Amino acid sequence: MNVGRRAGRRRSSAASTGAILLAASALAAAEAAADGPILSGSVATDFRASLGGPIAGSDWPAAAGPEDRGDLIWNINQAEFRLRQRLGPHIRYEAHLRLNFDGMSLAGQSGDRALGQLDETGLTGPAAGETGDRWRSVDATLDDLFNGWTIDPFWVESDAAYVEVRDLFPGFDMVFGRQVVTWGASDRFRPTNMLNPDDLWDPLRFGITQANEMVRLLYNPTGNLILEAVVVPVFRPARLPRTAAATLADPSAAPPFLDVAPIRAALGPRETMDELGLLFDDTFAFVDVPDASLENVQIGARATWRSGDFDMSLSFYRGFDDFPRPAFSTSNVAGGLIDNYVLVRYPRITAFGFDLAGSIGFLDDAGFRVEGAVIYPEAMTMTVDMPMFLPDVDGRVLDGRPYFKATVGIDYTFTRDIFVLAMLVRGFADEAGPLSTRDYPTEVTIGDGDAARRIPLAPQGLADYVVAGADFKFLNGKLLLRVFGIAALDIERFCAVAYPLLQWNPWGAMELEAGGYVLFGEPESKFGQAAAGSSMAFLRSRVRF
Amino acid sequence: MLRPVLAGVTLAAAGLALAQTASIPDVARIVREAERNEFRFDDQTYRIRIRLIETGRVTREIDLHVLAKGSDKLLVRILAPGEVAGMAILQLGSSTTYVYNPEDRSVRLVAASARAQGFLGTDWGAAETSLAGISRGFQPSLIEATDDYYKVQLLRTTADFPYEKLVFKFDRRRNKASEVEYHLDGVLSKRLVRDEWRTQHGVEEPTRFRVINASVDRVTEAHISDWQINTGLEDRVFTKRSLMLGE
Repeated sequence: MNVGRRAGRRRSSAASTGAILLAASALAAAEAAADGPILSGSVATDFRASLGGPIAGSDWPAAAGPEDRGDLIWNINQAEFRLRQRLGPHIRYEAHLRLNFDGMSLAGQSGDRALGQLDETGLTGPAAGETGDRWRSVDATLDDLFNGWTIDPFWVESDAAYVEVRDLFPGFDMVFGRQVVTWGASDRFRPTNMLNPDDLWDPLRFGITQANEMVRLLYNPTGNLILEAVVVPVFRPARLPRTAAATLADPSAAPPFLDVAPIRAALGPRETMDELGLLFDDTFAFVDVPDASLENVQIGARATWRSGDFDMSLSFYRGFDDFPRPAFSTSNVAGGLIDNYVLVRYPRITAFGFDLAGSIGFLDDAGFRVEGAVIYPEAMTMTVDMPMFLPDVDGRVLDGRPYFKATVGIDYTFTRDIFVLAMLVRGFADEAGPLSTRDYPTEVTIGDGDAARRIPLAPQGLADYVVAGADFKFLNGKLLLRVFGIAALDIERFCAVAYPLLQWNPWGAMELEAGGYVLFGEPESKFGQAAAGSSMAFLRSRVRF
Repeated sequence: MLRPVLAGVTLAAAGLALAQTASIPDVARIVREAERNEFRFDDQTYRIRIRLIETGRVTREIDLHVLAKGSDKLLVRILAPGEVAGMAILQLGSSTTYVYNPEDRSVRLVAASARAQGFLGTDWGAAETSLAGISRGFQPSLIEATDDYYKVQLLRTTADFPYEKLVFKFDRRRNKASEVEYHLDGVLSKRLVRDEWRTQHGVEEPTRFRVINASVDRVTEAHISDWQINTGLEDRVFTKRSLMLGE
């Protein structure tokens, strides 16, 4: 019996040793098959100076922005690191970090951007403009000078932190974690690209998305057919530009109702408030983000294939629009001042998309890209509650009817030094239909007779744009002149963006860029409104390794 | 008397013609041979350092990792310079090219009009990577034959190829094309010279490629290193699916 036990222990011990050896050899084999880690990254600096507000007709230089023309308004310094490694034939990972340092954290500010003003009554809120007594402008507290977070604030972003499993079974891959999945065949303006939230924080990087935690499944059953399914468990909203509050939480702006009647109904009491001498003081904007629940899980599916010389795909998405819409506003009146409270939330959407890309033989093989999506949004209303006035005003901000966004583009390489592209875009990422901007009034009249006032309305609905750009390379590619522009196809609210850029890349690995981002348009137009921000000139450098 | 002489002359002429026919090589066979020998191995991986030499000075260096399988699958990963590092180019056959852009992780189908253009400011284009596909869609003709080489002209007929005429020199000893001329719009555009031959698995292969621009003083020189062959590269490496995953 003992012998048997001992033999059993020996067998067990031998089995354990065998298992360990097997595991060790498996590990060794895995290690042998592993590629070395690849580290890459960049260091970048970006300075921007204001060119004033949007240039409206001959009103150059307009001063819609809070800053003066020539003021430095942006200095972001980035250090970026990316690590990738394949651990054998089936496993790969990627980790990415981007450190952002805000060089403007303690820069002296004026007007609205200052912390406040110090006068005989104490510290007041942000002033409307310079008082002339610059010593009174307050930018920080003394305590801030002890605080590293205030003196040198930074934040971390990550585009990737995922594990990829290849060929779980033949042709089937899974990717878990934080990642960016880009759908669509177009350049930058991709109506089918909905899985990752948009990143509009930096107006010069339009079309960029933020990474999101998701599970991605890819299956290549045969030939060129690729089936893809993505599950995004938790909704992440779009990152908005600093100027977004001008649209979403401006108490003096007309509510973004689709119909004129509730706009009038909401603006009427405001006129009365004005007449009573009440002034808007603070605005507090709140966001209702979809709960992390099973019913709010976002899903996407896509099939891509190649037929002849064309690439095409069909896609489906069910989730949320990553741009918020106002749902509720109320106000509190005290001491002749009105505090305004706004709640925004994200409408649920379902989208069916397609894209097609290829070359056009009769146009000397120019490339073409067509991409579109039919979007079914939930209907959404907004309630404007004004405690001094009854009743509340309700109005539609999304009418629930489906709408169509699309991009049609063509590109052509004339020589190795000249590349051009042109696109027609229906609907930017923040726009919703089904009506076109041309279907909405540009202003609404409040009051009668001599007291009548015309209130401008922010653009609503889907707009059409023409986007065109060209790259001209000189000095054998070391100098790049990029001319890029967007213009709204709307005579009544014409507006445009010009984005010229000169890039010098003398030694590879390093880029020096200078350029401008110039907005044209009336204050009620897409690029002329305050939410579009200021025109700016920039100078930036980047070294990559 | 005259009749036998004429008969003899006729026979002699016929014999000469037959002999000449026998010595004239079959141009279609040369083209097939040149195409087949572009890729003599099942698969290969190597690194390429491309140096752009302008008026005798090196003005740009590009490092690539190349994976190739058969004659129709090629994946180029850009390692340097930094501003394009991480990009990848997948070429499937002669008419399908995808580019992976790491900035937005998109996979873009490259228009055919862009395929004749040089790579990152060099004269190295997708069309120069091989002579794959030359046996279809071209009208071949032999324009010179010596003991050392055959010179073959290919006029594009139906091929989806950016150049209208190719002239290549087929090295008879090495059984491989050693020089290629590319003609566009009726003029010589550039010339590819393959040299620094090295024996790999019993056959000689070039390890240096020079693309000489015909209109300006510019040479694009590519050196191959870390060359490995028949490592069992999987087909999945050369798929849009892999590119979509950022591999």
